[in-house]
Amino acid sequence: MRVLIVEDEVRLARNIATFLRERANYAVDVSADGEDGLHMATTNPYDLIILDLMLPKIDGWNVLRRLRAGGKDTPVLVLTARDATGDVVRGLEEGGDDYLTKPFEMAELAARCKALIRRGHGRAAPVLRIGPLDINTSARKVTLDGRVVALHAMEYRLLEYLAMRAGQIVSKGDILEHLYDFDTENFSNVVEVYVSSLRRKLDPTSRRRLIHTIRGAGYRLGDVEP
Amino acid sequence: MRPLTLKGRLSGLMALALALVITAFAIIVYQETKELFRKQADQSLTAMAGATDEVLRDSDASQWPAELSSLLPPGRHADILVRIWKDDADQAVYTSPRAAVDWKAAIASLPKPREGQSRFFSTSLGGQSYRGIWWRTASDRSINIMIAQTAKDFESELRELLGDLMWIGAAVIAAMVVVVILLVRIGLRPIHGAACQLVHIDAHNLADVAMAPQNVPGELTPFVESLRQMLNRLDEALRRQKAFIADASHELRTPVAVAKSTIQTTLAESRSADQYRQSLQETLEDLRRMEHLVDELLLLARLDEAADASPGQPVQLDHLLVELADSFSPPVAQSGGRLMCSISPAAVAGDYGQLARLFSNLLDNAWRHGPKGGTIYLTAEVQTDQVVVTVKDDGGHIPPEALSRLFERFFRVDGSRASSTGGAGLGLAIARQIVLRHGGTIQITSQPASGTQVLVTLPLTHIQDEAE
Repeated sequence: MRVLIVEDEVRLARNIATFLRERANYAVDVSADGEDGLHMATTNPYDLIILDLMLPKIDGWNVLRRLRAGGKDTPVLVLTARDATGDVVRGLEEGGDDYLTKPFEMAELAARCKALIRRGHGRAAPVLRIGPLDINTSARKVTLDGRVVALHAMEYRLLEYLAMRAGQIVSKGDILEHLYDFDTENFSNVVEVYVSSLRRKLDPTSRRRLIHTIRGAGYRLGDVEP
Repeated sequence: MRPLTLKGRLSGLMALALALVITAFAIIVYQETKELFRKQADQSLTAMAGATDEVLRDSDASQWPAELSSLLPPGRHADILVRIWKDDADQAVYTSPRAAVDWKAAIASLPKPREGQSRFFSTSLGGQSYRGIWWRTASDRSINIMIAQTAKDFESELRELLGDLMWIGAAVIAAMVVVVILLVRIGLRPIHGAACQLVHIDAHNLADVAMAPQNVPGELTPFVESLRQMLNRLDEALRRQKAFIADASHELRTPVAVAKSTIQTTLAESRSADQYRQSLQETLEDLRRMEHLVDELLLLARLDEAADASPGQPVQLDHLLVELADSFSPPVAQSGGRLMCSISPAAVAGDYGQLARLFSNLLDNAWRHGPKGGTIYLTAEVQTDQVVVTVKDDGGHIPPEALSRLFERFFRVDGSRASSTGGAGLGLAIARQIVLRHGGTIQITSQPASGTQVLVTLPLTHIQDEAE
């Protein structure tokens, strides 16, 4: 999952980014003003945008309006330092999905992010179930036939993304865009590498195929959705 | 003592005025009636005296008593006294039967009319009051006729009249008081209505009260209008206060949020000693920011509190500015800029600490918002009775729409609240409050070509020589 933080309080943005990378295993990009944030939000496929309302250049409400006017459906979590209901209401009416008032608990922020991302992918349950596979997005725990599978961060990130879109064909480009932020270097066959290591851990005997390779199109977790 | 209610006052005054009018009316009626009675009595006395004179002239002296008693109205002999005498004789020619009266003393006490004339008199005879006439014939006959008629009839009638007037007057006054109280109550109903509206006013609906001046009588218009204006001013002040508190809490929330996020993120995983140290340093920085903000808020509150402060001590402004310039020069030079000063000696009355804060805020602004590596000019010159201090940078530009709002609390040109540009937007608000307290003026002009200039004027004072 990839998240964009638009917040002019640089250290707050950096702390949120660190927390989400470490505790939620998200790829996180940071922008410090409305103009840059809007540009990043429209040119990259984020799973969630965390948006401060008081921003230099373009304020948060305007960013939201233009984002929604441009047809972007990305869930937006609004941050505000004012508890004036007017600000919050305006934020939600311009297309925000949820809000948090500063100062907030980082754990709560992370929980809201997870919930918004789930909803953004049309899922309500925190545990994604694909055949014998259970992916608990809250605890970041994967079990296969009830047995815990130990995954690396990038492996989990890939599996969570595929699971969110289970039954759909996900292109390599899509996977790359949702797994990596601008700060992280990646290499050309990174997707193949992580897909094969995931396959080894989830299906060591290759008896049941959970991750399907669709030639020339990408990958699909689980069977085709009816 | 509490003043009377308006209702009581109006009712009382109107009742008093009515009582005076009615009493005056009663007195006039009484006096006029008395005068009328007297005139009637005098007419009848004149008639009687004339008739008596005719009897004396036309008939023989032996017939006088019979003739004269026939003149008197029947049954009134007891009330009318008659005495007739000649000028040269003390002895009366005729005295009415019942006149057991000391005529001599009465005659001696009365002014004597001229011959051929008559004179009316009021006197007391034998313990009763009388109205009488003294009639003197011409000198050829020199006869005096004195007729006195008791006044007790009309006196008793007058007493009766007086009694009537008094109770009727009292009844009328009492009735009028009741009517007046009712009328005043009806008349003052608009005030009562306005007061009822005021009852419902509290901090939340100050400006909502429908105190339209056109809904009250003309006399109340200035009162209601000034009340309405006062309510509006209060509402405005309250609104500003609320906005200020909201802004202040917002300003405090941001550093709290940053510090909290730093601590929670750091604690989320186990970190290296360097990372912990860095987190602590960052948190300290946030705490300093909060401390600075709280200081500024307190200073503003204190400046607001004592808007009419005493003039304070004489401050040698040039010394203060030179000291400030000395402390500002090194950091400015370090960032590649320059601070140019031209300071004339000047003394102003005020608070040294506040004046230092004022000019340090202005220099700080010029340094932070002016172009990097630019020159800051600090000048102070004396113009007649004031000193003009300017702080100018050579390139920083403030858009015109922001210029008018610069002195607002928490206003920042870039609109965001990030710490990167520095303060919380209170520096100029504080500067303005300090200037106002020192009886001065402050204005800011900004041109893209020449930069931003802040111009402060302060009234001069004279430092007394220590020798004096």
